[in-house]
Amino acid sequence: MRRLGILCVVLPLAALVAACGCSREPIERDRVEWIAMGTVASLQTRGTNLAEDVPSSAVLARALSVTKDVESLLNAHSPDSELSRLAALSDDEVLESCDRTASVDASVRARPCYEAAFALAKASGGAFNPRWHGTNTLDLGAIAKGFAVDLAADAPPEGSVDMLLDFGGNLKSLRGIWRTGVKDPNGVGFAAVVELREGEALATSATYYRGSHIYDGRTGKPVTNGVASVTVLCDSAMWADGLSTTLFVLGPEEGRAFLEGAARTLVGGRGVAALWVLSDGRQAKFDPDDRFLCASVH
Amino acid sequence: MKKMFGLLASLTLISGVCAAVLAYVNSITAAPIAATAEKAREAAKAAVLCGEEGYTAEGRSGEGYGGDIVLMVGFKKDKKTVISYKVLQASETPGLGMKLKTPEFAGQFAGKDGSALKVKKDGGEIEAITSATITSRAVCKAIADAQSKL
Repeated sequence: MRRLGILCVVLPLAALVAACGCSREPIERDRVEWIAMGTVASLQTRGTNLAEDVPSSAVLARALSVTKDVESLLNAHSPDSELSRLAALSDDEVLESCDRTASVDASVRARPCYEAAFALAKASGGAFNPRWHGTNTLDLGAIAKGFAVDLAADAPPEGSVDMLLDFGGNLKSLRGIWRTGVKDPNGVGFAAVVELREGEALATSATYYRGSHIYDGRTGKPVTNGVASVTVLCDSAMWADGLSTTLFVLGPEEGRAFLEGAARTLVGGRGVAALWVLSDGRQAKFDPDDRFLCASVH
Repeated sequence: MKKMFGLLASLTLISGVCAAVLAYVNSITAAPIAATAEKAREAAKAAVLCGEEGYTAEGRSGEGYGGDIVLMVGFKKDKKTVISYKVLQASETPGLGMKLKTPEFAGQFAGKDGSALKVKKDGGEIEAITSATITSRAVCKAIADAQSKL
């Protein structure tokens, strides 16, 4: 009995001492934000001795220049962008002509983004449509930010610091597992939680910030199908971004069929998971590996 | 009966020790925490000017999505051009050290208006949030608020 009493005192004290001891080498967190592509981009880092971490500085430098370069190539609102200059050409001509006159860093070429957008338009029967505004127009706004994330996240230097890129809600883990939340489109908390693993990306399409700005490429009209938000998990930020818009337009039923059919060849056999949150609060999922957890976390 | 008293005595002792430790820790940390916040504010004032001459002001932006953010903003002598800004407080990210670097920032915000602000964190567990894209206008709004105070 006495022994138990002693244990009762010693154990909590030991725990307290251990807790204090552990905080000697604390996990530091840092976050650098910048304005790019019409939104706020950021690089989050997590680890010990962040100040001396050279790899994350290199990633930051690359991310800064990538966002700038992609913006100068693919900004639909600028008449001088490569995208605007090629808009009147056919899809094939765009692919032939792009990259020739690019005046940006040699590692940033937009062709993969044009290709993905055209392929996604074809596979989705036009639900995703980079020419939704007319034949002579081009708008890659629904996929360009994800494309930029992938470029910035490409081959990060070796190191021990965990890194997460965020371009306007398009997330990608460059290193480490990050606990991420899917913003609840109908409230303040989260609709789900995802443990984002290294190399994985998450993207969300929704109307709560900018109003009804997602158009059905087949009709040219704003989408009104009861979908409040769609979040896609994939190992490519570009596909996560493009697919989230596509699946918003398609809705859960058509969307699931699309993911099981046409989308499979498109994303090269990559695992894709999707979460629809409807405006009445109900959820629908395409989630073979149960990656979207804890529905309705508040 | 005797056993119960023994248990009671040890539990009381544990509670007492823990309470004492917490009270002591709080007494020695409360003042430094306040001092640290003030120091951070002063440091932010210096940092956002990036060595240039100009003015600093705090700006707030909150549209009900995730609470307010408070920025310290450094302006050039014209009181219009932003040199840099730093987050002093983002209610979604309690305790999370945030540092903002804003390369080629000057002039980006002149005359722009903002709407909502993104939610970054809710409590201590979520590290990042996937959401619809918010425009940089939200940040601009806090900056405009700071500017109005100059």
